[in-house]
Amino acid sequence: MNTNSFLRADEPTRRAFLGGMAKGLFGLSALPVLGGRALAGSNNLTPATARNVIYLYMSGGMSHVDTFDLKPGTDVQGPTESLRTNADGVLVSSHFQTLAKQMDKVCVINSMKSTQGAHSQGRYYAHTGYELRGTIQHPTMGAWLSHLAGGLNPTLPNHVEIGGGQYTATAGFLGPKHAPLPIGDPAAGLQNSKRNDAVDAKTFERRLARMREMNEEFARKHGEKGVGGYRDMYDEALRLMSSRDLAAFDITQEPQALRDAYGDSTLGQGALLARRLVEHGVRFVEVVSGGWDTHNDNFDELEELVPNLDRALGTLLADLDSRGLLEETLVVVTTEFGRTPTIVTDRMGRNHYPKAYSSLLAGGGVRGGTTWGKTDETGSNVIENPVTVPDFNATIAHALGLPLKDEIYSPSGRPFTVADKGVPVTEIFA
Amino acid sequence: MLRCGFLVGFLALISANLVPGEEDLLRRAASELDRAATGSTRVELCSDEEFVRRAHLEIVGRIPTALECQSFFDSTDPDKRAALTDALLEQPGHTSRMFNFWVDLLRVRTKLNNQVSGTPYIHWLKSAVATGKPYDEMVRELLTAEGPAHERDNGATGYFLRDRGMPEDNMSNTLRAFLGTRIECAQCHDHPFDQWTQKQFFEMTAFTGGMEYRAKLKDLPNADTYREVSRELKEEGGNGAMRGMRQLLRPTLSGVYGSGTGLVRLPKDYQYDDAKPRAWVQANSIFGAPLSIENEPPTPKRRGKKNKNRSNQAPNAVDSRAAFADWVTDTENPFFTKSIVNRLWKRVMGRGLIEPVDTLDFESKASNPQLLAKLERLMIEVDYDVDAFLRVVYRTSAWQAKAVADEPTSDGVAAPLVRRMSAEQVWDSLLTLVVEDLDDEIDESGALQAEEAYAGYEMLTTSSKDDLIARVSRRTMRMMDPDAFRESRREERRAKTEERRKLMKEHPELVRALRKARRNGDKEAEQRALAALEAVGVEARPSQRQRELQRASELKLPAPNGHFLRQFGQSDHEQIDGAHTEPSVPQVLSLLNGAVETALVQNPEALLNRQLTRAKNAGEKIELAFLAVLGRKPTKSERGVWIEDFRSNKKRATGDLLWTLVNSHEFLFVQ
Repeated sequence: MNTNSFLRADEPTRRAFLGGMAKGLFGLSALPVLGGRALAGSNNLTPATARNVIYLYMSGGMSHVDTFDLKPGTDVQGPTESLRTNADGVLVSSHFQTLAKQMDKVCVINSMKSTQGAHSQGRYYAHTGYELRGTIQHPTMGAWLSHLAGGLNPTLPNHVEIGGGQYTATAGFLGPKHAPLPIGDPAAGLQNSKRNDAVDAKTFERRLARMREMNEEFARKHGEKGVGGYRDMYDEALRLMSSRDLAAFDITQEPQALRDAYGDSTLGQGALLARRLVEHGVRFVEVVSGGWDTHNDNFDELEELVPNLDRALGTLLADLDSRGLLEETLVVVTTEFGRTPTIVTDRMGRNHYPKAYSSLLAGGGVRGGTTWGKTDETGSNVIENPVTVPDFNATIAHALGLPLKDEIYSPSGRPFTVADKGVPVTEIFA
Repeated sequence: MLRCGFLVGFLALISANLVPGEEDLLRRAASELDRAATGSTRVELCSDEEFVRRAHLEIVGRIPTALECQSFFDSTDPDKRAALTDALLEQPGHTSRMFNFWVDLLRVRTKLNNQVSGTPYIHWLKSAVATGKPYDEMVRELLTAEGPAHERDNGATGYFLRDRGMPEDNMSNTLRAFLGTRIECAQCHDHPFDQWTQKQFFEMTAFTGGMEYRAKLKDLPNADTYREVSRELKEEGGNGAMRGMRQLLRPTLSGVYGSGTGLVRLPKDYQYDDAKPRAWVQANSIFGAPLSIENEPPTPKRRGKKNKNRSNQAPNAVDSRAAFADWVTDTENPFFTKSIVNRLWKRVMGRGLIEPVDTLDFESKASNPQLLAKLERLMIEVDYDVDAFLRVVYRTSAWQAKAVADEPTSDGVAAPLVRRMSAEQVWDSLLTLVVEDLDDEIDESGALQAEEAYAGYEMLTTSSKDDLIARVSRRTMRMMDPDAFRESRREERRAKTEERRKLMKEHPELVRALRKARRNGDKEAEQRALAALEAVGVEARPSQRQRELQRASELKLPAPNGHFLRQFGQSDHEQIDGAHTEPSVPQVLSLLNGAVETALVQNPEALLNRQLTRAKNAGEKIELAFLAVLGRKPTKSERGVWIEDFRSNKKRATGDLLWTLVNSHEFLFVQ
């Protein structure tokens, strides 16, 4: 109960902690990791190894045997070819030309297991660590982070999602405050954040002044409480419009060569935007890449999908590294499930396969150039160190130093924990 | 029909029109409520200006037009407030507003699940609201719906299909939505603080036991044809074609089957001593009137080859759902009436008498128990006719009182809270400034949207063999070779457009008439031109803009992510009562630089801009804009300020004025 009441501490407390105490507590001078609430209230803390997360989500189900769990020389491999990487003994698909030179930064988990074989259930499970229910909505990892640790830049949201389309993550019972800010087209940046073209600065100021006069009148009548924080929100939006931080959303400020290197896809440009956001203090950015549901023509489809991921991820890792951001940024690549190792020959496709699949973790304290867990020779069964979806999410939470054992109550009084009692894979950290 | 109580017999008359002395009865009923709500305290009523806006937003879900405001102000009828609320209750906008209330509660989605459209459910709900179906009847029909989901007018099946395959969650949702009580913790374990055990939870779930969500092929009306089709397909098309057929038929076979067995099995990880895992439990009401369903669980047969698949042994259906529905909707049920009146009171006043509204139990204390009891009595006496109930509530001084920004003072006097409009109210209100005749099609649109689903069902249950085979191969192609399918679709569309173009070329005068009507914003002429075009074979197609600029209740549910409605807190319809009115940065950015600019300020076609052009002078323009946006006339000082602006630059001032009014808190808040 003690923990819980602290977790609901009011904003000034959180802000105060953010500013003052966070660094001192763990002696992590390089990493002002956690915000306040979780910090001071919990007995279940471990030191964080990462401050931010860039979460690349392959929506539809990424075929493990065609990407990161290759089975050369077997029937299940089909036309996919392997490529050696700069990490000893780690093979990837030959479409990962860029990434192959960055695999020394990556830990490949080849022993993922999910219980969900349908898209929406699988997607929900992957994002929250809880199975989809009709009676409660669980927070995603970004929402947990926002709730438990807060943000680093008061002008920017704590949590952004790029290219999520209809399936944008929500903060569930933690409330809209912790939901991600959705961005559709990464090149277009933050919607409506610039003054409308037809409105010059003088006009805008004139209108604002008039608006404030009217609002003062309204507040005189009903009090500030009556307008429910809207005045502050206008101030915040206006601050953002004129803030240098708004540039965080503008990838056109990047050199063209770098933009090209990330690749001309939502995933690539979104990954670049994610890097800019993280640089400016946004702690959790998800980029969604669609189209991985390769029931038909798996191999043809992957010829386009995998190179997009290759350029996005390969360039992101190198870019983060060269800026010194990789150490504090955990890069995640995951999906709802793998795909059947057996090829459905009449349409050269693969179906859903939650029993075994692959995900990646890189940076943020993870030891690179390594693998964790194994599947059998056909990629059909996990035979070593299985990692469940809650385990995987617990590993992300562990990197962020979130308290895995603390019970957080939903408004209806039900207790929940980050990653539903998953056990973090601590062995993969340096 | 007569029940004892303070309203004996009065209210049975309410729904009928033009009953002599009716107003008197309604007023007496309202003052009965007021006696409990406000006691002997003298209530300060809100102004007419506040009232006209409040009434429109509350009853028809949008701000009033300038004309609607003016005619209310001009009326000298001493009962004009009651006359207005009564009239608004009859408007299609009220259907839209109530529909939004129910879809939030029922988590209705335009797409119920994979390939099963929710439009029949939406149609069912919209017509239930439009025709004033009593609430208890509505709930009973939802809980007992049976049959194919896409069969004409069987949309109530959407209620169970929404939670398809999750009967436990569905039961939790039923109790939360209709009885305002939550037992879902007991879904997984005995609740540590609450009274319910996990076994009791499953006793409740047993009422909906044995439901299926998909019919078998052999149950279709034209089952014989399908048998032939599948025989042929197996021979010619192989597995692919069979999969194509299953996909094609998915919406047709979807539905709710089984009237309830009154039996369900405990989960396999059941951990308590009072029963074994996987044991059958019998339906039992766990509070309120005792209700048990007697039914024999199937006796497990000896293990043998024949009985390998034990799940096939299903108990018989014994109409346990109907018994359950009666139990839920019984006036004696301790929470049924309480829950709905508490929810309605919250909608009308801004907060419930018991909060949160879905935590009713035998211990919950209302902030005003006497008022809650009277509201319950009223609801029972009007036989759960929600509109009749609201008709009385809208006559209370409590509802007509000056709004307060905070929770009631210690003397507990009820008055509406100043609160932000719901997302739907914000959207619909903006559209009121932009679109003419916004409310024209609300009643009929439900049927129109559902028509495709009905037609699909009818086609697939009546088609001939050859027809079906053609359809299956098309679907198979879509599945196996999506590129070729897309190409053929493109080809069809191209041919259609070509045909359309050709027809239009043959009738240039009709096309000219349509263009002219649209240019002039002449709705009637536009309708005439469209009808004339249709007569020669050119189908009317609403423009993209027309499709987008509709009431929230007419758009996809929920609206897509990032849509204005979602920014402003429309529920994603995953959870009951998922909507919110919290401020956010994207919202404010939309108001500052987005929708307000593009749809209104810079849109010469916007209704208000067209009206403003016609206004004679600056004074008239200013007055019109204030009335249209805020439902009031400008104060003297406001008028002075803006007149000054208009004098220096008329065009600039118009834009500034509209922008300022819509961005003011006064626009966004209901007072």
